[in-house]
Amino acid sequence: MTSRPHPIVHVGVGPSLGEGVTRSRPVGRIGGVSHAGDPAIGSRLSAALGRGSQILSHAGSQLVADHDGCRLDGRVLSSVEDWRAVVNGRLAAVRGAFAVAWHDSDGVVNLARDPIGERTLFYAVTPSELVFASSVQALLATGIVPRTLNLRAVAAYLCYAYLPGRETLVEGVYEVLPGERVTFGSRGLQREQFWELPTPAPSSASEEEQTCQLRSVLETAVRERLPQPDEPVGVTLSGGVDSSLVVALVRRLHTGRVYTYSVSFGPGYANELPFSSLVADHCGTDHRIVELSPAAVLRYIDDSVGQLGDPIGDPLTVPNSLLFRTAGEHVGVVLNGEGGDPCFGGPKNLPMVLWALYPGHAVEQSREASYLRSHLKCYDDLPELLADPVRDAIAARPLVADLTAPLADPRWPDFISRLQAINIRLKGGHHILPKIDALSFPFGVLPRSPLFDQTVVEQSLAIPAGLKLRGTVEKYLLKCAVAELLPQAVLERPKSGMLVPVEGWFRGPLLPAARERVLDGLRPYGLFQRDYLERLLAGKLGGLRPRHGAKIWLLITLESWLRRVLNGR
Amino acid sequence: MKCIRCMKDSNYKDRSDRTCPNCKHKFAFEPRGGDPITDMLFLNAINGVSGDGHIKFGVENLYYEVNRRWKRQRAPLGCIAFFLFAAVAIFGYAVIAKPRHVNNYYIFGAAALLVTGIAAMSRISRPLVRMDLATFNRLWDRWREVHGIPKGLIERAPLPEFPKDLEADIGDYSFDRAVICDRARTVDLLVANNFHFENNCAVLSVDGYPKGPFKVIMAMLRRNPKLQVFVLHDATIPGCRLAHQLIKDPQWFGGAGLRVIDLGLRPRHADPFHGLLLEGPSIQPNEEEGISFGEAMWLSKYRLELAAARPEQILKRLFAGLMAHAADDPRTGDTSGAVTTCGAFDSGGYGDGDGGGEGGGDAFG
Repeated sequence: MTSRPHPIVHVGVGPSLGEGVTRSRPVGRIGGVSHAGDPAIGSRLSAALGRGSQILSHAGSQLVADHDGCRLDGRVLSSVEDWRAVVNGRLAAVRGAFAVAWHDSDGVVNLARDPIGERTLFYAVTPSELVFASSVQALLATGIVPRTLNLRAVAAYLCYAYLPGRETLVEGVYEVLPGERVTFGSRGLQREQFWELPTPAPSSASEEEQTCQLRSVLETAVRERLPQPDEPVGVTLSGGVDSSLVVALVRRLHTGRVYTYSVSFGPGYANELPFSSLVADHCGTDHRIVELSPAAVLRYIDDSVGQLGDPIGDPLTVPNSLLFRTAGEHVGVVLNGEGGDPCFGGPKNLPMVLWALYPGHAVEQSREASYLRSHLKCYDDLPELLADPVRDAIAARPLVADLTAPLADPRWPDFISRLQAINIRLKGGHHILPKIDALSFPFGVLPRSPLFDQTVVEQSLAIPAGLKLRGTVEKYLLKCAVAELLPQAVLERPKSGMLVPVEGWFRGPLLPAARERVLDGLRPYGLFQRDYLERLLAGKLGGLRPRHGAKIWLLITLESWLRRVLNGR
Repeated sequence: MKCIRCMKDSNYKDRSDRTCPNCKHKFAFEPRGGDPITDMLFLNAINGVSGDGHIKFGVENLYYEVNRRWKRQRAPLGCIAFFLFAAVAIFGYAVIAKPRHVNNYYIFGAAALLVTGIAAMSRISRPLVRMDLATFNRLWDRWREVHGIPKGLIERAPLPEFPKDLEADIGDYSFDRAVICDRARTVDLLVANNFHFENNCAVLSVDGYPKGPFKVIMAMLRRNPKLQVFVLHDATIPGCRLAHQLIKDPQWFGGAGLRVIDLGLRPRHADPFHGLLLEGPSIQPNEEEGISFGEAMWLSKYRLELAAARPEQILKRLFAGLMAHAADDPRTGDTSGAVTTCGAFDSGGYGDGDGGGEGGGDAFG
């Protein structure tokens, strides 16, 4: 596999992430309080929400919306008047990314978030009022929300690497769920889903017809996310099937310049550059490789994690941030291939199939426990890792209890479709989409995820399970739908997630910093057992695949988030 | 003898009724009372076999670990050297100086030589396992009675009924690889340690275990024309035949044209297991397909069970074997199939740090 050389953007230790950024999103974030009270609260919210923030007033503007690419019946929603016309009764039909808040005529505050979760919205109920904002940071900046750590959420974070539901890491602060409407008025706080994942009957169309239908839906999803024809557009490109197919469709559908961005961790660390460069050459894009040194990762972890509403412990946060920063120098819209795995039968499904086939074999084998274990984070380590207060919190309400109903949901009789529904809701709406929204915001970039398009998601749910996962071929129909667009080597490449060399980093250059952050930085919170942390940092957890690096990353992300966001330092 | 609870050393006369004089905890074993081992040795064996509590293990693994640690009393090298030196000196003096009563010198010299020989014999280890299973079982029962069931033990109870309400689509999928074992207990070891879950890998025994899902899993395996098949077995004649059996038997992969990878154990893996072998069937050695004459000779004299390797080593080396062949195309291009041997169990010792390491990439997203 050979390709022409591409420009490399070396990222070393430099100014803070947001410094020198002039680009801003056309629509800012939102916030507000339910009752007109202390005007300083609105000012603090506005300052914390950043450029272009919109605060729900109690007089003039009684609707605020953070939105991108929203359409209703093919018509673009852009003005406040457009939104006023749809919020009561037609929200479920709106396609696109949005978080919207408005007052009803009777003074009730309404909050709603788009069905898939491309924008975030958080709220807290204080003794007298409801306060809401696009970010947890803004809620805390008001000074009226107590900075109290939610101990059960800490345990959940350690299992998933994100927070998989309404609860956040701050006690009393909640996230509006994707497709949910929250109201606060004289009857208190109420919640309702205005949109649910559909449960279409499996299509009876032939495989060829379904392939054509999917291709058509994908093309529409990409086309609707492109900027004006003469504007440049960016796409993040890992070299996997999902991002590659988005690049190929963008190239086919967009007449303007197409930039692609890949990440590398420097010499000596594994990367996927041969595949991403192959796709860039194949599609004729203007390709950039962003190379991060370990020192740069350390330099920017606090800045990156400080943007997140909840900690997200996958090591792609810093690379994501730096890709958006680089992309922001060229383009205002960056598409990505996120969503291919949860929607079309990606990894993590087969281990769950294996669980179903080997029940009762000597380890805790409930379906819920296996789902938690399949995230390959700290689920099995919790008894050794957690200090008593956190253990007590999960003993009172076990984490597996949250999964019982979704894993037995009869609306999806197929095992794989049921997992798909859970993954779209949890991983899509609480991990992937909030992450790229939060990390792209400081650079004024609009992230767009065509594979999480609502129509694509609906279409994917209608695909028979056997066409998502055929034998061992994952995302089978998706690959068929774009087969002629991509090099064969990409379609047939061995399965792999994005490679991040955390094991190497924490055995070498980043170990001293990790020791300081994990042992000293986390100590004041009293969350963990010191003995476990010492063994983790010494690489002596034992077991077959202890995954020290991934677990250290999880903990330094938590430390960074607690310091930057919870404590505002 | 040390108490495993309070670590206090006690004399025999102080520990009446097999009770620690310090913490009053019971001892399971009393060497002065005829037991071959101490509680501490047994505890260390449990810690060793379970990777300090991180690895699930079977009682058969513990049997071999106890044997590995149960060394005979061996004469110190210095003692052997002393008596050898004494014998040489006495004989030398007798021959060269020819003193009066020279015969007495010869008698003393011969006695010193005899002691040297006995001491040296004590250091020569035998290939066969020393503690028999009945003795171990007696000790094991006593241990459980006094100290309870250790953490990580795979307790074999009849498996629950295979669920009849399994989602219909589950049988439509397949796996990248399968590990076929000659024993059900090896399947239990791998599954209990989540090896299947971590490696997208079906695990079955050649005699159809686990019985409930066996047919479903076999049908699923047949859906993957590029299935990678690994075999893992004892160094016995049936074990060493296993890979060839699978490529020939149409109930398995006969006619599928797959290359089956034999991970071991085979006679060449026996060196690190000196003192842990079992007696072989004592039959006339015969070369056959998949078994050389040299192997047949060894297999007629000895057997080596996979359980003699520590579970952590089995898992790591199996993982290393899977990774070593991850990019191979298992199709032979015809229907006859083939067998390849893999070196995952070839190298080095079987201590805690040896073997496959963590391996693999750090994939996210």
